[in-house]
Amino acid sequence: MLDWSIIAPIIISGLLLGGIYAVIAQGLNLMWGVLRVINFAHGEFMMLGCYTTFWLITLYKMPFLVTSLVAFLGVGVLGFSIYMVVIKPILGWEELEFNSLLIFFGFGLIMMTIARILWSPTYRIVPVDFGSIEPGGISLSLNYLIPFVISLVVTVLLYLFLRRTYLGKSVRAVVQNKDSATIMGINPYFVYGLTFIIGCGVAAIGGSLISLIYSIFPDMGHGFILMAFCIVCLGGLGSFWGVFIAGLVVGLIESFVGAFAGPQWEPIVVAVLLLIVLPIRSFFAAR
Amino acid sequence: MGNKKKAVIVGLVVLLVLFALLPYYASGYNVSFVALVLMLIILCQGWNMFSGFTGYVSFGHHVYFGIGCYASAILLTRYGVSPYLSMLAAVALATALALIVSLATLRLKGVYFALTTLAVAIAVHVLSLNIAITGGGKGISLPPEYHLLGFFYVMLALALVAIGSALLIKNSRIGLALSAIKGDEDLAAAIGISSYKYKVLTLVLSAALWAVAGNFYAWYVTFMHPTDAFQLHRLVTAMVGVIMGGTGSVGGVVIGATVFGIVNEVLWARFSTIYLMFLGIALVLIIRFAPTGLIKTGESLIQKVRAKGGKGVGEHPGSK
Repeated sequence: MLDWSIIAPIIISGLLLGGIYAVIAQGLNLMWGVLRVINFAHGEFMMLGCYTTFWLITLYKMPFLVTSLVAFLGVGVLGFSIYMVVIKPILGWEELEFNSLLIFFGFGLIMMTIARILWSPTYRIVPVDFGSIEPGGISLSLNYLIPFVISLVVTVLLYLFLRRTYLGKSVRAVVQNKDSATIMGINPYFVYGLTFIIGCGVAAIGGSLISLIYSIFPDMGHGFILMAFCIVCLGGLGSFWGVFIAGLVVGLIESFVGAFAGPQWEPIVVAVLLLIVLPIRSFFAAR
Repeated sequence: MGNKKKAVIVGLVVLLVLFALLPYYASGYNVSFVALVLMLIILCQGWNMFSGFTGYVSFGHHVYFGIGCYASAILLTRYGVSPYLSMLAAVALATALALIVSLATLRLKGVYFALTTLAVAIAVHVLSLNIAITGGGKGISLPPEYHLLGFFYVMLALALVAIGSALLIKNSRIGLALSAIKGDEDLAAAIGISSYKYKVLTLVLSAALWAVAGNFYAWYVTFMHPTDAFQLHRLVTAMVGVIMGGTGSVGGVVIGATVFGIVNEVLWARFSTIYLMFLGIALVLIIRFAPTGLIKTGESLIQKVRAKGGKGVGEHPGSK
């Protein structure tokens, strides 16, 4: 009964989706890890990425990759302005994580409402169809494969940036010891601003990629916030490849649950995963 | 001082009588308006009782409200049980869930705790959309009867119960233990405070308050749908009310909930399309400029202005 021809597409679509999930979670991971700030509007930044791609393709027929880049830059600048206006002044606060979570929740509501007013709450589909290929008899939609490949490229670029460039090294230096990094001539506030641009921008790229697969609507961000958190907690905060693998795992589990229990059960996956992972993690952390 | 205390008590009694007689002189819309503000006071006190007193921020309290909604909706439509009885079922269910949640989450700290409670709420929400007994996405229609008076008086009584129990807890040994836990949980445990016990106790109490409020809310609005029952915005509204009033204080939260409840209801009625944006803006501004609550922030502002003006030189900032 459990035929390879049934299982293989489930595994493949799960992995392909998971790669994109990982990119979205990577942005959250970066901001949380570097600034101890929780971006609860991550899903909304992603939603803005979706709409950027949608409108640039619908109105100006731009190539898909260009729209992803525009989404990265535009949303990155938006994230940077939010950082300058509200986050920078509160960086020294106690309970920064929770206060920033609430502030971003507020910004998420604002962005969602603006999207609803500007673009109406209707579901939209990005008018791009790359067709499909059939390697080994398994039909594979390029609308899944191309975003996955781009997400891999983004992941590798992000990794190289953090490991090999001076800027990336200064980001890691600030995480390890802010004071020493400052003494060595690194401006931590510059690093924080950069982190915000990259973190929010990466969420927008993830949105731009996922808009080829899902239909888009102003409230879509809500569902992705908990997912990104789940992936970061599963992979370990600050662990680059941990988050990547956790993204693939979450994509796989969701795909299997969707295929065997029905797609209406998919949203429960990340909630249940969090409920299993976090208590176990804290149990072992306490030892 | 004695006179002042007497005046406060007389004032409160007059206020209570004015409230109790409200349906005799106010229009139906105004009564329902006040009832909804009272409900927000209940929710705020309930949330404050756990999260405000212990410092464990729950992001999933709306799940208890939803459970209360469905307790009355299901029992009333299927078995004709009145909400005054189904209230008990709501409390029992909320207690059971709170106990399960506390087992899984109360050893988590900070944001991890908040997100796990949110995960519980989302899991129950998705569950309610997909099982038969809740009517799934179609919702449940309750008997379309007009229960405004009943709802109003229940909310009034429940608000009194909520405020009273919050005051009782805060001024008892439990309140002391809770503020020790909030300050430094490890230290509290080291001097022999069973932090787990107290946290569970307040969690159950606050969950029960939310469940009872939900129980009567469903009976009043006569239609229940998972999206309404498990609405995250209801929790956020309550959180804003609490933070505005001053997290952890009982009187402040009453004021914060009342002010924000009125603003909230007016905005929702007038500008329903952009209402969520107001909620967002309120959240951003309050956290950014008045995270300790409007009252405390106002007090410290006045002190600053006075200090600059050279008045009240002899006063110590802490003295009252």
